[in-house]
Amino acid sequence: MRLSKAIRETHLTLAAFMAPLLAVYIISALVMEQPFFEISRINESQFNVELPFGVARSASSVAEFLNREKGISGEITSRREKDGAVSYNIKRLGSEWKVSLAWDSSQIEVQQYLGNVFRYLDRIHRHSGVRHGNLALNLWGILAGCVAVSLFIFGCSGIYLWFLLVKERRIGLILLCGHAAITILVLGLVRLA
Amino acid sequence: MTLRGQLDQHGFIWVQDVAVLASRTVVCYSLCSDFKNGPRRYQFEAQSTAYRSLCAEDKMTYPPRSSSIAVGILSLRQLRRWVRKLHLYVGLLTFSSLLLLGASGMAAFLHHTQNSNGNSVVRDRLMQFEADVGTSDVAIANQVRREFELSLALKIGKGDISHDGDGNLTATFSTINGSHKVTVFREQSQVRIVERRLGLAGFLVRAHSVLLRPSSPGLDWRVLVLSIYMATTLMLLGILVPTGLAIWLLTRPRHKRARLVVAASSGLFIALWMMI
Repeated sequence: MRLSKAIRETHLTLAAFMAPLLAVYIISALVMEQPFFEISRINESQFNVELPFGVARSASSVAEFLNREKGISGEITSRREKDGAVSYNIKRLGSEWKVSLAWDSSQIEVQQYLGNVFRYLDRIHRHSGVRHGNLALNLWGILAGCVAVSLFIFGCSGIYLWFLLVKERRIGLILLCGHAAITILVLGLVRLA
Repeated sequence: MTLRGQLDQHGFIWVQDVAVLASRTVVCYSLCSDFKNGPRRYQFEAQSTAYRSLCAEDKMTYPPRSSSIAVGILSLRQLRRWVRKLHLYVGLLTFSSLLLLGASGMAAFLHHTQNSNGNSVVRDRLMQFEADVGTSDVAIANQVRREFELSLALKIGKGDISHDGDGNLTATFSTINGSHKVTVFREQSQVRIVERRLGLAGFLVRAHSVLLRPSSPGLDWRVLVLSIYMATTLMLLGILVPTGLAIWLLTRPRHKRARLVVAASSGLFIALWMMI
């Protein structure tokens, strides 16, 4: 396979991989900056769940029970044991549940903070890394990392494909260098401030 | 005159042309084995046949007048050429932004993974400061920002202000480069300003997330320039992605690998969306 063909294929394949994810990042970036979408709006409510006999009173067992019974799942954070009670938070992107259970009671108290879809988009845009207590969150972190690496390869392969078009070299060079100069200038201005 | 005739007179006939072109093109792509020559031939036949019948119905002349010819002439090849040119120029314009976004994405990934924020104190100052009498905590914090010209610091609200163990007012001004932590000692008429600076990774992560919001209070002109730059990048990406998809759909609708990758990527995204 010729080099140019291989690079064209790579460019297309990477673009195909990134297209849905880039679309999500573009939409979420718009959502994050427009107050119209009300990403800070949260529906707050509270309810109690009866813990049946036989379920261990540990955070993980209670979380498993809540997942099974109420469909509440996510990353368990801020675990505290104090005054004969255990409390922790279950976090999903955009939503949170504060769970508390007293040792001498069978009632699980759940405070629910549900975000809207725009809040979810905001959180998905900000989410990164692979050190979360949830497999899906880690997978998303990996996917975001892959998109970041793909952007480099995609950009460079695009430049190579442009360079093959002899007629477009002059105007392309002007656009490329002009924009690169603007980028360096803008970032430099802010960094050196 | 029928409704169609009236529409034509008002120059809206191109809507029908486009509809015919789109539907026939889809059919041609799926049926025609000779991909390079087939669709164009079929498309023109379809167009002219449709238009002929339309003209016959309304007793109008054929060939059609210029407004509809303009769309008829825009063959797939021309459309492809223009879209490709647009994609090329927009791509060249976004190349450095793509590198910036890629670098900030990688920085966010590693930054979070390594759990190090790269903060380091670059300046710790203790200076004379007279707070205005009878003003609120927020007003005092903003007075410090104004008087000491804290670089790139934005105005802050009640949520950014607290009091330390001795009851002194503390406020943290976040900036793209790091932060300024301000502690006001009212009795001694002094203020302590600790400036922290982010490493390059942290700077890139913050820089890429600055978007245009002209209503933001106390926006520094350099931040405004950066936010305009990022908003332009976003707009250009909004052109780059659909034109890229259009080129793919117009030239290689049978490209198996790309179709599989799009399906896999979309499937993975939907699955994660439901799981997260």
